[in-house]
Amino acid sequence: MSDSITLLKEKAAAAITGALDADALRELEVAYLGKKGEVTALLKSLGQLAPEERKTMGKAVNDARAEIEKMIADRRERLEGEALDRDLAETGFDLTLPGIPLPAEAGRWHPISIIADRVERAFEQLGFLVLDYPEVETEHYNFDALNIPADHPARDMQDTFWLKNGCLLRTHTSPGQVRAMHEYPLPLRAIFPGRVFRYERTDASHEHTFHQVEGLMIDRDLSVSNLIAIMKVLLETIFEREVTVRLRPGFFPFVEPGFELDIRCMNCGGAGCSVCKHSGWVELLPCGLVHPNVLRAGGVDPEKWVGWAFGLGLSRLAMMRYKISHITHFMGADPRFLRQFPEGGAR
Amino acid sequence: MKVSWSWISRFAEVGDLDAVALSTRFTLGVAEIDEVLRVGVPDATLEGEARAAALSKVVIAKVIACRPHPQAEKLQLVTVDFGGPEPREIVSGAPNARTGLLSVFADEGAVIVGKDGAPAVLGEAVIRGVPSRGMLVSFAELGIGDDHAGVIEVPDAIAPGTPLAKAAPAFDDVIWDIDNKSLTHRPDCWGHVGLAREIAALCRRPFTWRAPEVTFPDVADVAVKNEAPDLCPRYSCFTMDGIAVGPSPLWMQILLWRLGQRPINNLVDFTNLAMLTVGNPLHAFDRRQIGGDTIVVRRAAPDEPFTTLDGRAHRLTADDLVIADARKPVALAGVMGGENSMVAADTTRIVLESANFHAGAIRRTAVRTQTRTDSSARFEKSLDPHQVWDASRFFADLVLTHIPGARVSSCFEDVFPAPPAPVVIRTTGAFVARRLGLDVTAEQVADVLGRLQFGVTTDGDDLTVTVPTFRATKDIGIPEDLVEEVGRWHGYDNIAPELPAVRLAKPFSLPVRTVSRRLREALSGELGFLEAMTYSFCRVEDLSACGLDPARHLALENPISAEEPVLRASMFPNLLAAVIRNERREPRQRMYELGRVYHGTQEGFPTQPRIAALVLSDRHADAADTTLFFQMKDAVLRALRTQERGAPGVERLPDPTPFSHPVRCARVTLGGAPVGWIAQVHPRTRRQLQLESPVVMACLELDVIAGLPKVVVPFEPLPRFPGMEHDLTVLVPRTVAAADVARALAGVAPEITREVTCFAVYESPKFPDRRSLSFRLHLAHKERTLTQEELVELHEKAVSTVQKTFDAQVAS
Ligand SMILES: [Zn+2]
Repeated sequence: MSDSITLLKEKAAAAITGALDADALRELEVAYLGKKGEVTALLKSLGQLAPEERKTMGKAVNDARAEIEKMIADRRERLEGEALDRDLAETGFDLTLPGIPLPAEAGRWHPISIIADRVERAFEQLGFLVLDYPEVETEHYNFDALNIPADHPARDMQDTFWLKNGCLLRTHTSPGQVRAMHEYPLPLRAIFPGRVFRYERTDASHEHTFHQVEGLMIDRDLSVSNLIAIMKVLLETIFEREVTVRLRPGFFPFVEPGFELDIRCMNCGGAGCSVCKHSGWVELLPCGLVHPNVLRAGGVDPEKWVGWAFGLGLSRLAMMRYKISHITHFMGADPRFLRQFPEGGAR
Repeated sequence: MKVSWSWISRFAEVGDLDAVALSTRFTLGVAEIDEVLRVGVPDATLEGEARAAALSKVVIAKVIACRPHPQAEKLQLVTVDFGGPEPREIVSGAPNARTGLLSVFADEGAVIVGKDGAPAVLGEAVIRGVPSRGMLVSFAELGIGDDHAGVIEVPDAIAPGTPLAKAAPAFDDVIWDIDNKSLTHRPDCWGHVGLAREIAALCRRPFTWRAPEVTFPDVADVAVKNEAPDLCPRYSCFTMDGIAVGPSPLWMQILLWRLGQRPINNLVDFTNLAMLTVGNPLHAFDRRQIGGDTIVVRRAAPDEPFTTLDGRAHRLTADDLVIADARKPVALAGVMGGENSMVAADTTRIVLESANFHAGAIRRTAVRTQTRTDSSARFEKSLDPHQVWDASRFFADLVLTHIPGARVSSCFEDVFPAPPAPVVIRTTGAFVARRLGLDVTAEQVADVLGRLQFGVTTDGDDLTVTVPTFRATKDIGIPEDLVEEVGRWHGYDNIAPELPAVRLAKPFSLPVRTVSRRLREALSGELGFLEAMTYSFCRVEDLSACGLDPARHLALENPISAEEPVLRASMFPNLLAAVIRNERREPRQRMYELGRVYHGTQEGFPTQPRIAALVLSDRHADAADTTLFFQMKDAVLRALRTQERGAPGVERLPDPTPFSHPVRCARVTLGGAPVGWIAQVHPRTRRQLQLESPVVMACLELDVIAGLPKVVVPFEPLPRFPGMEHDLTVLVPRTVAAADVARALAGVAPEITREVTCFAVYESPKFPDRRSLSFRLHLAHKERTLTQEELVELHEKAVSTVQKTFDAQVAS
């Protein structure tokens, strides 16, 4: 009995695969599943069996029926697809026909690209390389090499998207620090902009995806004084006006000493307003001298070299520059938003 | 973390300083303060004498008589002695107002928190026909915490008339709310004592705190057996008898409210206050609940059940540390006590635990069991094990002071097998000066470190620095850490900015960035595209509609939503979703994105190629019309021409994506190398996505383009003799490729044909199998002017060639 079921299935499979059009398939459907079809006949023949056997065989026949139904359905879909493809193929399409110029229209850079471009250009003029590093990172580059071992409370600050393969989405652009140290000779001056990810709910000012630019400089002799000067020059170039900055202690395991850099609120000039939460200052970026452990992770001898690094939020900067209220606009691909920033590429 | 200035002033001579002004200095020198609150008078606009006057109206008062209100059942007429010349009868609705109650009275002129949350100045009121001046108040009405339950019950004996601000300094106080994140690396700053030490150093004022002296009798009660010294560097405990559980004194209740802790009872409050003051979490066990006379510190057995005192049941692992008696765990070490050993109202005998635990282990347990407590938050910062002793004495002293009849009834059982060796750092004044870019000498460095309680010896420029134990657990270990101490103490504002002097280096730019930039300039420039960005995650639904298999995408362990569990391997599912969102408003869309896609199996490091993805849509276009396709072709070829990597072109695409039209697609080449494709969206995909507009996509692989050799097209000499143009229109079968016709035409007289372009295409139902193509031949001879005869000859040869080769019909 079970042999005949297997045989029937095999026969049906061969016939279905061989059916070349919808009509042939419909005939097969009748031949196997119809009132006088072979499966139906098999079901009827169960009556001769003992009750025990009838039960198990009944199930087997019904399973076979379902399988054949599925084979027919799959084949039908496939034939329909092929028929569609054939229809599509018969249009006499000639890809060598000449292109048609699009009607003239104003194109636009994404506001993040505009800001990134300003930052990149400023740093290129200072002799920095502009590099680009992976967004899917390893735990090593994102945390361990940056002096953030497992169980370090600093990992809290950076709620992380983990991949099933053990990799993660970088939580900051800082993994580029160690990658750049491995790839380029010293002394090194580089920035690396890009997309970063934090595992958090989105609202007006929080996004799980945003943009940062990391800056790194390694030389024989660098100081906090140099860092303040570079940051001031950078911010004045971006904002095209004089800015007042201040440093205060900030804890980031990959720098020592580490700072938060604030700028005098540009909205109120320091008098206090809602933008600066009435403090007169706006927190802008973390920075500091590169921790010796991070230099070591990059194969750099901290006895001979010193580095500084910063991480600047490009999304944040774009929001400040254009007074954008909702960070989620950036990733929304809404032309009404994207058309509003005309100065892309302006020099 | 909330900090009370009045409580800080107990430990350092800083009480006369302006805590509001000082908060900025603290933010610049230590850690970020989120908010500074002047508390005591709910109306922040009141200052100086007006504020003092309002404050003085809030005093301790005793209820000396009560009688019913003549008009209202729920109100009473209450006579209070508030220290005035004579008692006053007022109307009160408080359920707990009763004769003999010691409470707090707010007289006329006091400012309280009104029912709507706004400040309200008390005046005379007539309540249900009875005039009343002043009122007994609840904590919430004074702006202390959120307890509305009834009027304040003062548990300790305070004379009526005493201003509340005097009886409880935390009533009139300045509260700093410090950003916890900015204290991550400062285990010493998780209590008021440590903060006072820091503030005293910052202000050059004396730090006065010493742990109280407590005598421990030489009697053993509970012994300690530490089976996991790697996870518990120090464990101590002692027993106290004669405990009576009751309310804490008023000043302490108010202080705790101010620090964000709800007062519970004296035992709980004392452990909390000790933690908030010294920084070390403590735990009080009811002695009755500890079976036997030994506390065992051990790893939990795998799957060992334990219920924490918040009522949650956990299954532990061997990574979790427990405090146990002979039979059962009584606490999840450093995280939370057990339901089975809590102090109760009738507790008279306690065992106080003061211990130090391994930061990583506590953090792992707290994260895994989802039990983040004030205690675990502190232990995971790596506390100084020496705090254990200070915290024990601070707690014992609170009990002895505030619970009459209580006594310490055992010795201080202390298991501290390996006190950490002192951390000694060698550095130089010059090193610190060079790193900061600030002129400081070794003496100045020594002075700053001395104020911060480091041990320093100098020898010329050399400094030998011994780190105090409360900074040595994690915070300070290398010379760079000392640079920070000096820098923040001096104030970074005092460092003059100076650009670094550097050596020039060879210019270099990453080829792929140049490729992206040129594409962006072309697309967002003359080609009129909008640059968009979309997420790196994509929806299963969109993938399926595009015929892509979600299982072949990199999957997230913790996706932001169940609908978006994978990373994009193509940018088009998200871009098409954007086109759909926009298409009602924006019938014609021209967008592109530059970004990465992610390819990889579940093992190994994923490749993340950089892609330019373009979309062109026209909701009003007929899907059969090919205009969009050739507009995209034009745009892509133009954009690629700026790359200087050879001539761009298109050719047949053998392997279109499942969401691409199988015929209306083309491979894009640059200098002959494949660099991407163009395709109309497959009709099936359109249907499944419910995409109304026909859309043409283009995909360019930026890394591939960047890898192609640079080709600079050389100058072409200008013709010396005038050229001619000759147009030819042919009607060819639709199966004939325009490019083949152009090539054939160019081959008719190659020596004089400079270029052949197809400039017009015409299709008509009148000749359904054919297509009209118009070509322009650009002709010129290098050595002479072409003659009319040559042109006629060329025309005839061209006509016969296309007629023979392509079965073309040529209009005469
Ligand atoms: Zn402001």
